[in-house]
Formats: sequence, C-alpha cells, structure tokens
Amino acid sequence: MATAFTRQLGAESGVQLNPLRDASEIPALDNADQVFAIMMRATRGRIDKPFKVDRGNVLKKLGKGEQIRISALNEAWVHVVEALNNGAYEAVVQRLVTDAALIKWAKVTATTDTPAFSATHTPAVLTATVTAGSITAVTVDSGGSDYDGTETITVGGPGTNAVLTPVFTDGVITSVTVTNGGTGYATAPALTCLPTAEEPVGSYLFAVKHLECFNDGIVVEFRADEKKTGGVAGANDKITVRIRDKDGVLLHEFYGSLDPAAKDDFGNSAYLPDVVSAQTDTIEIAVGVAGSNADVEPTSDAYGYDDNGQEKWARSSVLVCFTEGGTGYVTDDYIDARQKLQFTPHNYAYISSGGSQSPALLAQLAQLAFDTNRQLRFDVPGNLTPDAAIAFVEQLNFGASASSHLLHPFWTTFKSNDPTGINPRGFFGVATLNIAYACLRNAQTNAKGFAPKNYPIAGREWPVRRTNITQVHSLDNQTLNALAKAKINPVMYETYTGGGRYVFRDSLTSALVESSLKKLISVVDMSTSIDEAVTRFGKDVLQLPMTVALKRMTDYLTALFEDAEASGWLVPSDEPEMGGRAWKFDVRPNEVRPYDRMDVAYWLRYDGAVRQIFVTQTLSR
Amino acid sequence: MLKKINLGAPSLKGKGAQGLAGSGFEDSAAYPMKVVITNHMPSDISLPEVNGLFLRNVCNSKGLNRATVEIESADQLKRLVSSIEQIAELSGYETAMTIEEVVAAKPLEVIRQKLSDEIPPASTPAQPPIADNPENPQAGNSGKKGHKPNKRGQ
Repeated sequence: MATAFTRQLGAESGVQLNPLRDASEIPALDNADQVFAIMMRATRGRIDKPFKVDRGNVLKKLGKGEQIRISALNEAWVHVVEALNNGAYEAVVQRLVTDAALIKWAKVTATTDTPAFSATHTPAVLTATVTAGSITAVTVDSGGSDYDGTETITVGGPGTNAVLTPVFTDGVITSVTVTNGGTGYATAPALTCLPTAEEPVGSYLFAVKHLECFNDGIVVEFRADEKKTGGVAGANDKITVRIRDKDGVLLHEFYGSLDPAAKDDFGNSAYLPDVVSAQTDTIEIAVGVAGSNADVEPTSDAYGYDDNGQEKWARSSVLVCFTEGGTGYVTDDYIDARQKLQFTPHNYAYISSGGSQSPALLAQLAQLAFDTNRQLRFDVPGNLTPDAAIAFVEQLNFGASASSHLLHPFWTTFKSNDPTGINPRGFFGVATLNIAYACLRNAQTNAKGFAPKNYPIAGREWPVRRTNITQVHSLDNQTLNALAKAKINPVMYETYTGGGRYVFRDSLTSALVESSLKKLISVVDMSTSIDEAVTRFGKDVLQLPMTVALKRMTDYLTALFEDAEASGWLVPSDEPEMGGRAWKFDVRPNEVRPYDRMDVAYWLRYDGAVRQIFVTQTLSR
Repeated sequence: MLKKINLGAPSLKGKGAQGLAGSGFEDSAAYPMKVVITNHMPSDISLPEVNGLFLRNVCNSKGLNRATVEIESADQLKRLVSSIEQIAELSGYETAMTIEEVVAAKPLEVIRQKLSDEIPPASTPAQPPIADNPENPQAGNSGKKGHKPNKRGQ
C-alpha cells in the first residue's frame, strides 16, 4: 500500500510521522493491596523463590494440607486457604526450609525394554566410630549417589574439629578418610554429606527435576509414538513426557526430542530440555544419552500401542524427589526467607505470620515489615492465658521498633471448627482472616480509585464467619484494659444490635502511643497506601529533567491528596501550620544537590476511628 | 556428660546465632527429651512453641522462672533456640535463658559410690586448716565452707 508518510526523512521532500506520544496515562496502582505475603512450612511449593497462589490453584500448589497435630507449623496452610476463600486475591508464599533440603531428579533408564525409574541424589549413610572422644574410623553403610566429588562431610556435635574426607567413585562415596579425629565426641556424631551434582551422574535416558518440590512425590510417565518407515516401525527420538502428582493429577505435559539437533516446523529447537525451559521454570529436564542411544526402540514398553490399540506408557511409581530436611529452622533460615520476600517481583500490601508461634519468625517478619513498609498482622496463640498472651507480645519488644505502627497483633480467644475442614476443632488464628477482609475491602474502590481504608477491619461489620465457635477465655474489663495497653487486639464475642457475633474487638497497632493517629490500624492502612503511591510515582519520574519531574510530582500529589480528601481519608486539620487544610506538601530541588536530588514532603491529617464512646444521660426537670 | 546450653543475644555474645552447634543436643535419637528451661531475664517469657510454656521473670520469688518440659524432637529444640536468641536480641540480653537436660536419677548405690569417691573421709583433712593462720581467722571459715559438698554432692 502507499502511505502518505515516512518514519524518517532525509534530505528528500515528504512527511515524517513520529511515533505516538502517550500523555494520557493516569498513574494507577495495581491490586497489590489485595495480596498478602507469608513465609510458611508447606508440603509443596518451590523453595528457591516466592511464588503466588490463588483460590483456584492453592491445593495444587501448596498441597492438601497436613493436620496441626502432626506439626503446629501446619496452621499456616489453614490460614492461607481461609484467607483466599474470604477475600485475599493472591498470596505470595515463601516456603521455609532448612539447609538440609534436597531436590532430587527423577531418573529414567532404558537399558532394557522396560524403562526403570528412580530418584537420584541419595545421601550416603555414614557411621563414625569413636574412641576416647575422637573419631577413629568411618563406616560407609551406603555410598549414596550423584556426588560431584567436591562435597564435604558435616560432623555433628558434641565434639569439635573433626575433619573427614570422603573418597568418591562414579558419584558414590566408597570410603572415608579420617583426616582429623577431633575431640570431645562422647557419642558418635551424626555425619551428613548431601550430593550436589548438577545433574544425575552416570548414564540414563532422561531425568526430570521438579522445582515445585512436592513432599508427597510425583509420577513420571513417557512414551514414543510409532515411527514407521516403509511400514516398518523404527526407533523414535521424539517422546511425550507427563508429570503427575501422587494422585494422578496431570501437572505438565511436554513433547520433544532426545536429539539436541532436532527442530520443529518453525525452525525452533525441539530438543526436550529446550522445549521444557521455553514453557515453564518449574521443571528441568536433562537428557543423558546421545547419538543412536537417544531414542526409544520399537520393542520398548514405552513405544507405540499395545494389542488393544491403547497407547503404551512407561510409568513410574510415586517418586519422592524432594527431601524437606526437617523443620528445625534456625535464624538464618528465617532471614533467607525474609530476604526472598523482600526482593521478589511480586507485590503485596500485607504480611501474615500464618499463626506462627515462633518469636524468631515474627522478628524477621517485623524486619520485613520495616524494610517494605508493609503491615504485619500476626497471631498471639489462642491457648495462652491472658498473662502469657501479654508476655508473648511484650517479649518481642515491638513497641521499640521503628516499624511498631506496622505490627498488628490479634488474639483469638475462642475455639472453632477448622475453616478448611482438615483439622479437629481448636484454636485457629484470625490475623490472616483480618488481612483477607482488608483485601476484600480494598477491592471496593470508588470512582477515584480509593478503597474505604478509613474503615478498619474491626467491630460489628466484620464478624468471623466460622462454625461451632466457643469462647474459651472470659475477659473482664481489667484484662481487656491490660490487653489494650499491650496493644493486643482480642477477637471475641460481642453483642450488637441484631445479635451477637465474634468480632475483631479493636484495631490497635503496636505503636506505644496513647493519643496519636499512629495507634490506629486504619490510619496505617491509609498512610502506607499513600507512601506506596508517592514512592511508586517517584520511580516513574526518575531520570527525567528536574523541572519536568518537579512539575509532574506537584501535579500528582495535588491530585492524589484532593482525591484522598474527597474519599474520606483526609479531614481538615486543626494544626495552625496546616491553615485548616487536610493536607499540604512541599516539592523542591534539594538545596545542597539541586541538580539530581528532589525533596518531597507531605503533611496529612487522616481521619481516625472511634474506639471509645462516653455516654452521659442527664435527668432534666 | 550433662547437656546444657546458655542462650543470649548473638550480637552481644560476639558471635552469630549459636543454635545447637556443639551443644550435644543434636542427636535426634535422644528425643523426646526432658529439659529444664530457666529464664534469666527480668521479663516474663511465653514460648507457645513448647506446649504453651510460660516462665516468669528471674526476679520472682517462687522459682517460677524455670520449668521442666518435654522436647519432642531436635527440630523443635532448634526452633526454640532460634526464638530465644531472637527474643534476647530484640531486648538486648546477653544472658537470656538456659536449657539443661534432665538426667534420670541414678540408683542409690551409684550415688553413694560417687560421693565416697569425691568426698574424703572426715578424719582426713582435704587441705591444711587455713584457720590455723592466726592473722586470717575468716579465711579459715571460708576454707571450711569450701570443704562442704554442695547440694549435688560435688
């Protein structure tokens, strides 16, 4: 066709049409304020980075949950599922593991017509012999597999200074040399040596690495279709691989070649590992054969069709390809999870403790709250007495934290049925449910894009909707007073117009203030949202000319605060410096470094929330 | 050997989080294990990770700052130790808590034998009577005290 323009004019006569300039974009936040983050023990889920779950895939991604009676750590699963069913749009999950966690490969070998399946990276079993407090010998009970030859042996306590050197042959530990016997070993220490080879050692057809790390294992199956030449079946290098969970639910299906040079109809690589990496980052496949071995023979049980015309599949039993490595989390494990949640590209507005009873985990979450300016809502265990509940919070010393206003404790004082149905009746924390309700509220934005965050998730309008609830702790006024002073929000039965219900009785932050907006969760909800909006816009104007950035920031703040006031977030201030306004701001180049620094400051008067009402009736004549 | 671990803020102890390393508590075959947990901090401590354990502060007069609890596994103890270290860190206590294995009582004859091995007969002085020094009579008293076995007979 003939166009009337060109994109770039030289010396010739003509019309140059420049690329479209978009000045219509209105800064808008996504729905991150309907998403929460959590670090938790789970039986499924990748361990290398945070991942998202929603209501539709939570059972597939996190598994079907385990009972709390097996481990108290399993309460987090209940929290996540309940929250996703009650308003949370998504959860960003970082799975807690120890450094003993080990991801194995599911290996397929086809030396006969019946392919064999096995899990790789089996740790060796080593036993130390101790004489007079020193290790004198090590017996190799089992040599393990898939060592790359650089691993070292970790020697447990109670002694010190022992150095043991393993000897490897074809990825297996064949013997151990006692380089230094150490001292102080009253009993034989535990010896551990985890195999770390990148891929399975030795020959195999192909191997699958499932990075979603199912504790309950996976099933691998594959087949090659018939490939006939002149009516004669020949070996086929193209195979279909399926990965299922232990219950047979299909997780992934791939079709590719065992030949590295294979191409598809469009000239792209059809090599199985390339096909997989193009489709997902949760699976890795390695091919362990080459040349004429890189195919499936017609006599194989994984080739073609059976006598009934059904596809022949070679199928594994359930292969447990992930070792969780126990749940003995140490501070470094929590720190590792915290850092991954801090630097994940997934955005979120709230942090949940998942009902954790661990002060070590809560301490790291509090640090995460400070680092990300997100709100942490955590549970005080319901089985504690009021004194113990107060001690639980006070020992964390959150009041002294710079982020105290971001930390919100809730104490569930009742037993209920498990909202997910897998546990017997008991205490289940509701801090994550509070987050879910907040997410639900945040989804209801007005015409200006503002959610009613000036309404705290507390009181009559936000009852806990569980079944078979029984109040366990009867809290008198003095106890409630002590809880409020400790900044604990009790969740308990209250009577309202129209009947009683179990509610979040208060909405206090951990900030140690008596009369300040900082003590109110609703104010923190609004102020963190404003901070997020302003800092996000600040990133948008980075690297623009100073005058342009100043102008844009000024316009943005004006619109933002006008809309916040119109939405009921801000109310006129009685501070003399505010001159009766609800907000004011100052945007200017930095005095000392005016060329590349801009200073932005704003003063806002948020609306509060009623916590106390004093009523007086006077009898008149 | 009696297993015992002293816990406090890692930053004040001048090393990283101690965990169970080298404490002798790592042997997973030894669990469940009964331990005595003692709170040395001037504040009450609540550790729901261990059966809702609640310990009063060290200043209480009734000895409620210590309790005997059963630890189900080495993993549970690792998490507990991490929590105690974090509590100590947040509040700035170099010495926070002690966890000590409860050793089952030994048969009486074993104790008698142990005592007889450790305590010399009354007729045999363990050391020259310091009180003989006329210029330091109080030293003689302390010498006698030192001769008296403590409650554990050690």
